[in-house]
Order: sequence, then structure tokens, then C-alpha cells
Amino acid sequence: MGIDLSAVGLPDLGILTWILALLPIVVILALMLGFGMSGAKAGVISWVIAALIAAFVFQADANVLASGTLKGIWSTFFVLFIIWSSMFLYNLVNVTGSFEVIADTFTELTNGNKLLQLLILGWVFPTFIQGVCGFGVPVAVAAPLLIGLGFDRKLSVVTALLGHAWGVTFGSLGSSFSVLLQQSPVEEGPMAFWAAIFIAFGGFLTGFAILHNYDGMKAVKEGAVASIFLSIVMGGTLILTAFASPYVATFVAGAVGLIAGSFILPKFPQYRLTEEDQADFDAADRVEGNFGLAFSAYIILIIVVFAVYLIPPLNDFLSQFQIGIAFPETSIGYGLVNESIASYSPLEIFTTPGTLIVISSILAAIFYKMNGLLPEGGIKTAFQRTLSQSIGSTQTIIPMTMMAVLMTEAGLTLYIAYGIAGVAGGFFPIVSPFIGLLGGFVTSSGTSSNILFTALQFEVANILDISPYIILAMQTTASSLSNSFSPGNAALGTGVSGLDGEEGAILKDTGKYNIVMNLLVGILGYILVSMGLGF
Amino acid sequence: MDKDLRNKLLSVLFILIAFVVLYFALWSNSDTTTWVGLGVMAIAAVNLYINS
Repeated sequence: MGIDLSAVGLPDLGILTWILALLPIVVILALMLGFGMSGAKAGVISWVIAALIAAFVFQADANVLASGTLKGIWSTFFVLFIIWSSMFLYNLVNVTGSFEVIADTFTELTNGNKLLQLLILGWVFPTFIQGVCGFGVPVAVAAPLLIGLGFDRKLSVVTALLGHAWGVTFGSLGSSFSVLLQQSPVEEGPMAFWAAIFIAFGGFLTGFAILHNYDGMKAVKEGAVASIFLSIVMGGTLILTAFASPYVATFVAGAVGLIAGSFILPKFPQYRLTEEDQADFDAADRVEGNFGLAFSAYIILIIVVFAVYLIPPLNDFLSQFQIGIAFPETSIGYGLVNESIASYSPLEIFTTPGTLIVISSILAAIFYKMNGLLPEGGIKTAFQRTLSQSIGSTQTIIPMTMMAVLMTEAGLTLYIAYGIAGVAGGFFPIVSPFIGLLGGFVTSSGTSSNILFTALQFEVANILDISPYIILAMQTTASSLSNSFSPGNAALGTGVSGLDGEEGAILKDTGKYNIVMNLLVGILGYILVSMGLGF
Repeated sequence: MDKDLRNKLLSVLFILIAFVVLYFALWSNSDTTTWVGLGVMAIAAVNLYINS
């Protein structure tokens, strides 16, 4: 492409240097895929390799290494706060037994129609849970519920994996989306819009993937109306909510989808029960409990989040309380400069999603206690479960982010991007989703995939002069969808469903749908980029 | 709290301590001090590796 990298302060473009720049990512993939190493271990090794290459190949001094590492750790605080607080809220609701009441109520509302149950409990319900708490929880909750309703175990796991994945970007109150913003200089508004468009498209494909996996084209034909209806309701809600507050878009889309799927969809003529099915349905066991009380924690969360995000004077007042740390200017030997910054990635203490979840959790605990739903020692149990469930992802995210930000600080990511831009050229939009898919497969996390590849995708888009918003939207959509195609989540699914050792069979099923869905996402992106959109 | 979970928590705590040490080392305007801070971070990372 005739790129003069000396003008941007990087070494001349060469294949050996390019391979070395890519080595930290190659190593992390090889260690996790080839050797089955944990994300935390692979992350530490890759951080060390990234530091060595930065120092000896890119002439990064101690300040660059320190600055990149520190910025990486600082970036994780925001994400980890969401992870821990959302996991606590989920466990608080779980110890009250409210999830069983919520699921049973929605089952009853669907008249026991199997296809609707599959779509609502395997797609809409996990989406709703993903809205407030990801990291495998939607699969852990939905798969056993589907099995309990009589669905095949493998089908239940694959459905829950596929069903929750599309909501990852705006799920967990936006932890994955926040990474996208932290790792690139894009504006939040347009980024949320384009991400919502592509994710809604991913959701549309997800509905059909679940139907096809259930019973081939027969189920696709029978469930097409339901799938399209739910896609429009959830996808439309997601896009509209993303305008106001992307951090709650999956949550709101899932909640609206649950209401539409439970109260409107069963009234469609094609989904009413036959007499035989009605008899089986009436004979089934029911869970005792008040739905309003069971759902109250999420109603409180909706009220708190909407109050803070949608009342401008309140938001303006609370947003002024920020914590950020300063960084000095750093530069590598070839000249690439990272300018000094007074407040790097500031944390808005009272409006950050983690704080809102903590406040909601406290209010929900008080409400549950007042209504006799919170068992003795319930808060302690919820906290202990949160501790054991969240510590692994914490150990993984920290070194991975250290490595990813250090690569950016020392110019490795930029250098890789120039190399890809020189080879892929105009076809990059079709390649882009598969980079996100690769990241999600390796790390079992849409958030970690975005940590690894957001800066890379952004730089390539800039070099090729195509919309970074569309490219990053494809990155985050692919990383979300890939949550159904990752060994870690497959193992979680088999663990909660008594299918130990069948991870390969599950990955084979989710893998074929992921390849098709990401190809279609890439083609959509290619068309939009060709039309010159996204600027 | 079992030993495994405690060690994992401590490994994250060590990273946070190393973060503070490295941050002040970065602002010390001394290359030697910054290298020492990076050494502390490397030890914390190795500890996280062992306890993950």
C-alpha cells in the first residue's frame, strides 16, 4: 500500500516485525486452544511476551511499559465493578427462589406450547438475564429450566447458548460495550446506534438458528412468525433504548420481549394449544409464588437506572463526581507518542452501572426482607456465591487487559493493523466479524474479545478509510454471538445439564450457526460500507 | 472460605498493590524506580498465574 510508517513513529513494515507484533495474540490463542490453558495463565504469559517485544523490537522504554500496564489495569476497574455487582444481584434474587417463580409464570402464560416455550425460555428469558448478569449465568439458569420442561438436554444447552449470546454487548449493564468505548476514540452515540443495528440483526438470525436446531426446516416454518415477531419487538426495543442508554438496552429488550412473548404471542391463532396438549399442560406441577414480588428486584433496577440516566438534572449532578488518574507523555524509540492525560478513562462514581446495581441490590434486599422472601443468611450466601463465581473472570480480565493496552501503548496493535490493511483491503468488512468470533472463542467472553481486538479493528478501519463504527459494530456483534461458540461456556452448559464430556458435540452445533451468522453479519457490513454509510 | 479461593483473592489484591507501587514509580522520573515498579508488577502477575 506504500505506507510510510516512519511518519507515524513505527518501524518499517516488514513480515518478521509484523509476526513479532502479532506474537502476543498468537501465543494467547495457542495456549488456550492448543494447550487448554486458562485465560488468566495465558494472559500473564502474553503480557510478558508483549512487554519483551515492545522493549526489544519497538524500542519501548520503562515508562511506556509501565504506562500501558497501568492503563490496562485501570480500565478493568469499571468492567469488574459491573461483573461483581451484577453477579451479586443475580445471586440475591436466586436465594429468594424468585427465578423459579418467574420462569413458571412465563411457562403458564404460553399455554404450554413447546415451540413458544423454547423461544421464550431459551431465547427471550436468557436475553433478559444477560441484560443484568452475563458470564454464563443465563445459560446456567435457562438450560436447566428447559430440561425441566421436558426438552432434550443437548438441545436445551445449545438453545440457551445461542439464545443469550446476542445480548452480550449491551448485557451486564453494558460492560462489553464500555470496553468498546474505552479501547477506541469513538463517540458513544453513533457507536451505540450502529452496534444496536448489527446486534438486532444478530438477534434476528439467532431466533431462526434456535428454531432450525430444534427441528430443522419444519420448526423454522412453524416458528417463523413467532421468531420474526420477537425479533422485531426485542431488536426494535434494543435500538430505541440504545439511543437513550445503551447500558440497559439488552435488559429493556429482554423485559419487553418477555411481556410481548408471554401476553401477545400466545394469542396468535397459530400458537393456540390443541386439546391433548392442554390436558398435559394442566396436569404439570406449578411453582407457588407471587410473580410481582419475585420480579421486584428487576423492577427496582429499572426504576433506579432510568431515574439516573433519563432525568437530566439528576444525571448532570451525579456525573460531576469522577475519579480518573493522570498519565505522563510516553514515546517509543521510533517516535510514536502517547500524549499526557490529566484524567484517563474517568469513572463516574454515582452513575456507573456498577453503582446503580449495588443501590438496586440494597433496595431489593430490603424489599425482599420486608416481604419475608429473603431467607436467614441470604445476603451472606449471595455474597459467598458471588465471590466464588466472579474471581475466575477477574483473574482472566486483568492480565488480558494489561496485555491488550500495553500492545496499543507500544504501537504493536497499530503496526498489526497496518499489515492487515495492506492485505485485506476492501474485503476487510467480511473478515472483521471472524476476528471478533476468534476472540470470543478463545476467551469465552465477548468483553475479553473486545479488549483484545477493538483497537486493532479501529486502526484497520481508519487505515482503509471505512467506517470504524460499522467495523466495531461487527466486532462487538461477532464477539457477542461467539459466546455460544466457546469452550468455556460449552463446559458451563454441560456442567449444569449433566452432559459432562459432550462439549465437543455442543460446539459443533453452535459452531455451524456461528459461521453462518457471522458471514451474514460480514456481508451486511460490506454492503453498508460499500454504500459509504457509518460516518 | 477455602484455601483455593483465598489464594485467588490474594493474587488479585497483590495486583492492586503492585498497581499502586508502579503508578508512583512511573511518576518518580527515575528509570530505575520505574523498572523496580515493573518488577513488582511482574512478581504479582506470576503470583496470579500460580493461583489461577
